[in-house]
Amino acid sequence: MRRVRSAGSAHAGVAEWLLQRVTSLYMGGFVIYAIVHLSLSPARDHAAWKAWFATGHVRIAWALFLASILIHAWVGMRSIYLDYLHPLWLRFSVTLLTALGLLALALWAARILLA
Amino acid sequence: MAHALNVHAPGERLARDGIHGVPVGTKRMDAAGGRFTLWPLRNFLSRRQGVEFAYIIKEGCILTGMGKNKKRPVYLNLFKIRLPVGGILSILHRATGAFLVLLLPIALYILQHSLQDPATYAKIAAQAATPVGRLVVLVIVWVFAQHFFSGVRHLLLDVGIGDSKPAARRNAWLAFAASLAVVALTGVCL
Repeated sequence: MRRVRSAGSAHAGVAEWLLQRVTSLYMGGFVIYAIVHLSLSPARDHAAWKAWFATGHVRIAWALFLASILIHAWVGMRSIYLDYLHPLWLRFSVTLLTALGLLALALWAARILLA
Repeated sequence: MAHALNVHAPGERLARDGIHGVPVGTKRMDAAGGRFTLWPLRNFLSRRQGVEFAYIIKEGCILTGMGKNKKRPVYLNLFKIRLPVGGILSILHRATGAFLVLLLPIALYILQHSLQDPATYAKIAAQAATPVGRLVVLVIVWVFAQHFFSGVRHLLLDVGIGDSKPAARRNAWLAFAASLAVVALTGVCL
């Protein structure tokens, strides 16, 4: 029992595990869609590029893509830090900086998407 | 779990560490033949496994343990650890992932400016078409493709596809080959 308790609760990390996989599936799908679309009708100039991005469903797909990237990046970087940054103060500071940085990127992405 | 599957292919001989529940390579860790995979190393060093202490006893070799339990040496010298191809791919997955995160602000900057006005769009397109620009694009494509294919491999291992030892090694090589193929294809298209 002591051994079990020291290992933490059994479901810890399941949410992160699932988020990492769900976001990866979405990003994979989106990237394949974007590559297929852009090879069939390449954005040769600014107008074509902007027109594609302005379409309602494409913009929503981009929004979900950027959100997925940020979530995926958060879970991934956090697990790298958990494994390789051992002093608590270092792990805490780097994790905090990453969280703030990703939040800033999220706000920036929102601005681009709403422009 | 993906990393565990990845580094220790089933069938590999492992002993269970009775205290931490951590798999430990059965081979003796002598100076020359310190064969070790990175998974027990990761476990030993992570706080979550409850390792109370770890200290260096000689070059490339540490002791870890908990309380009264037996101390055992673990090789930390990466040059003395022979990692299977899946392990290398797994580390590369992390490295490429971290690199892509660092690239995010640049990507957002380019996205924002490419949407701004025709002149900026043309400038970005011209930049990407220069030899240096093409090289940068190819490197980014390789990093992304590598992360993509090792990620796909992880997802497949999660659902139990290709997780036998020979299959896992084969599709690790396949992930390398696929990313290089994507780079070659991009190079042709550029």
